[in-house]
Amino acid sequence: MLKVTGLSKSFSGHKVVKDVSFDIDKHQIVGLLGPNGAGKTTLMRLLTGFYTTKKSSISWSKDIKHIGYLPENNPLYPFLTPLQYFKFICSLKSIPVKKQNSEIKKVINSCKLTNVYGQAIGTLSKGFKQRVGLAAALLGNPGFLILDEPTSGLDPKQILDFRNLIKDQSKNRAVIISTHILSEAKAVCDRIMIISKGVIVLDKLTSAIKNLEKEFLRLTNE
Amino acid sequence: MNKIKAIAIKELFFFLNSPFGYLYLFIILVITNWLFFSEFFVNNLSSFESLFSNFYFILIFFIPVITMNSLADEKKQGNWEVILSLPVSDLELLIGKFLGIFAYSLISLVVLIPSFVTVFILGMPDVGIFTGQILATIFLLCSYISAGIFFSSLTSQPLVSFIFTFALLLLNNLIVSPMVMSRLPQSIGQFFQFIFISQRVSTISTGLLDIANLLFFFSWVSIFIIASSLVLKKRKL
Repeated sequence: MLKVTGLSKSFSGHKVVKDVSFDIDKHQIVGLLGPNGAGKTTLMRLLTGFYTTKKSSISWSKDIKHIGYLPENNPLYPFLTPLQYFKFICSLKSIPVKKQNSEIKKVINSCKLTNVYGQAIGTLSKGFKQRVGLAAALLGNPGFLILDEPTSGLDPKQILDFRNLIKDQSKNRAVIISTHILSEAKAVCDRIMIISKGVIVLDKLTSAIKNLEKEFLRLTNE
Repeated sequence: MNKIKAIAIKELFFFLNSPFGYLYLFIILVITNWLFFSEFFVNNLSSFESLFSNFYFILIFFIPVITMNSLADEKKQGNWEVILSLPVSDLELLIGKFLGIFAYSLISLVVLIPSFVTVFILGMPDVGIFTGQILATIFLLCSYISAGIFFSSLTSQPLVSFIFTFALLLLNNLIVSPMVMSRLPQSIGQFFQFIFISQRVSTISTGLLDIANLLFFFSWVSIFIIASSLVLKKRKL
């Protein structure tokens, strides 16, 4: 589904992502773990195409028409309602006008936004805003979902709800989640990748990692 | 085209869903009309010259305000990251923003319609000159907005964008003023008249619309939009 080979990215001569390679298959939830500044967000931005490299090192399978992306701080337009925002995103994703209403209805139901879709985004709670961001990413039924720190700033109940939502969505697609919360990665992900100083230092199935905390500290404390 | 339209509509919504959007229009309406009608009956001339010159002066403040958020705020909040991760080109984003802000700025011209109607009822202003003044205003709005978007693309701080755009627009108006021109050597003065907008706006305002001036405005807008696109591309390097 996604094949990354020898991916690197530098800013002002400083290499932030160094020769990273990995594959992700359908229906997999992959957790990208790492301390702050390890290169997680840069790697995510490379996958979304927001950043590019001189050599193309990312290849998507042909059935991936577009990807869904929820950035770290979930930027939304507070003056729009979720419905207006979804219509805006649908147009940018080139979803035909005839299909837009059914697509929007689908994500409103799956992200449980039925009671708030007509309210201005600026008036919604943090949990609902996060759902709006995820719903927008899900428009057009993307084959691949990229979520950067999706639960940051949510309260414990909202975190649990959001985790369940992510698990539901992985039934139809592959998901990559960037996080520095180890318990979240263990609870949600099938596979864990740890990135440190721009290098993937661990790539294993979650079930094959005995003590994630210990491994994380060992691999990132240098 | 649908993407450009969606971005333009979203941009227009930004102003129309905010009290500031209406406040700016109200300020333009009050100041422009107050300045115009305070001398209109004294001069007893059915001419729009002073109305438009007041309006052009207000644009020096108004355009930096309405363009400062266009890209700077998108960068600051991170919305451009979402938009540019979608199948949207930098140029589509910029043209959409340009058209959205332009549509809003046209409303500032629409709010002046009662003043136009009043003058047409009270006197017989020259329709040719009036048309030239409207066209000159439209060209001026396009030029100012493209410059504002460019300065907004350079930074993630709207205030910085405001200061740079304001400085350029002020310079554009001051440099060709008789006070500055009289102190400059003739060749330098002519050069400034050539590269800045004010002189060309004055020519079109007289009802004289020529290809050279049209090309100048088209080039000015294109250069600033392309320069903004190059600035946005820098994130990818």
